[in-house]
Amino acid sequence: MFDIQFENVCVTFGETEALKNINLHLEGGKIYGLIGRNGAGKTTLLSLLASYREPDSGKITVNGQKPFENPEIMPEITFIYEKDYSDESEKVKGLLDAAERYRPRFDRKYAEELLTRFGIPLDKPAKSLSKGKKAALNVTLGLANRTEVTIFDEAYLGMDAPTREIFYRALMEDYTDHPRTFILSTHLVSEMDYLFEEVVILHKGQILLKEPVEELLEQARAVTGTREKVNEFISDMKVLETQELGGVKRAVMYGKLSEEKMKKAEQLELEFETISLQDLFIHLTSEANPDA
Amino acid sequence: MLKKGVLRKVAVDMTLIQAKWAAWFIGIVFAIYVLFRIFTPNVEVHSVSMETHSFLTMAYSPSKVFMLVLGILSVSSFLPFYVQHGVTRRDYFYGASFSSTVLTAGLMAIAWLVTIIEQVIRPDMINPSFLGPDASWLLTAFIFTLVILAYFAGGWLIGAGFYRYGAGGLLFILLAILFISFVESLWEFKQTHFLLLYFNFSDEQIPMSVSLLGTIATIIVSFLIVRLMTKRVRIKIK
Repeated sequence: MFDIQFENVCVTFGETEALKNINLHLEGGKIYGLIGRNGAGKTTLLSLLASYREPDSGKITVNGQKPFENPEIMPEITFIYEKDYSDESEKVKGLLDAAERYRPRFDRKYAEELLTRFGIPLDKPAKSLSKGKKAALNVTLGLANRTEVTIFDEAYLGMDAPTREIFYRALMEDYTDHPRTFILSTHLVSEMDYLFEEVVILHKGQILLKEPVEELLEQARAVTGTREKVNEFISDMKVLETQELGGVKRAVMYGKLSEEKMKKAEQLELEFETISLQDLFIHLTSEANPDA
Repeated sequence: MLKKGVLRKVAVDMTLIQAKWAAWFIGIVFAIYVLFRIFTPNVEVHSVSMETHSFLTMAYSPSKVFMLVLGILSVSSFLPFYVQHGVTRRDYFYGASFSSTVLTAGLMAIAWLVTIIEQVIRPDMINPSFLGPDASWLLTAFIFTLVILAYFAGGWLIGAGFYRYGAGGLLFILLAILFISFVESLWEFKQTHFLLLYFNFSDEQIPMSVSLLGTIATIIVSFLIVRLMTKRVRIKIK
């Protein structure tokens, strides 16, 4: 299993700082969800890992080695993004041939099985496939490469809901049979959250948090009650958002609740509700959130 | 181990893919050559009457253009593809250097072979080599290969320049023109009065060894500049 480490990594485009001092450790063998709004720096971060570019400063190591131009590491990292196949006259079969030739553990049989599931014929040129089928072809190559690290960067855009479902299932099955590291970058958080073991939220080029999903969701909840009681309860909590209607207030909070705090909530007759990862993501990265 | 294996694969694959393009190219040039010979034997091509052309002299200029185009396309068509498959920029560079050299030699060999067959059919052929009627075959072959490789190198500079610097690549067109003109000027005289120059050097004439070394040096310098530009180049995501 390949551990991934980013140390003080910065990337700048002209005046814009795309990534600001990223420190991140991804343990090998897990499925990570990398979530962030458009322009948060997700693709830049992932392209560093795939050796598409080097950081302007800082250090990246994969399995203890620098990945850039490293012949031991590069073949073990697959970076799948919404690829433009408009100039690709090669047939689907030819693309499988290329992957088979250069990826040390490419599973041809599995790739062909997946293509059948997605309804993609082998003898069609890639450019003639529909947008959804192109995306399905991409994820097929990503899964069948069986590399130590597989990155899907919004690779599911263009797929319809049933096709995405086939992909999610295939990913889980293949991960169970061949455990390795997956990084799924997305903003389709609500339908993919069950796949993630850990979540990394990237916002404005910085890591906002990295937590196991369960722990993250345990810490995120909304509390509802009368305005005064809610205000009393949240005074020492990290509040992401509040809403008021009449005398009733609802506050979305983030942070661990002590037993004492739980007792207090009971006394104040407050109601708790869990919130989804999607909601948490929206609140954490909202422009209205002063910490965002 | 792995590294060597990958480089070999890249070199073989790039050679095969480009050889397919070259097969189309040389086939088309051959068809045009045959048509010209049959229908317009008196037309002048490159200031020489069709009647006196051999396939080798006829294919020389189009081969330069073909290799130039191949060079221009090399980085944008192959480098992102290979990095996407986990191949290093280094392996691409050596693979492309190898395949372009093999390809130029291959083009020369085909042109040469066809011309030998032509000579058997037409023993009275006036001008089988662009170096002159009595030029050495070996030398002709060597120079054909080197000069068209220099054109590839020029194209490669342009393609790498544009890939790396975007519009700044325009400067590399200038550099390529400079390099190619230099190579052409090294061979200009010899293509018309080759024998004369070969045996009778004078101060204003360029010795054979200088032409050869100058061409080889230009190719090596171009390749090195391409390597420097692509060594750490950012791969575009599209």
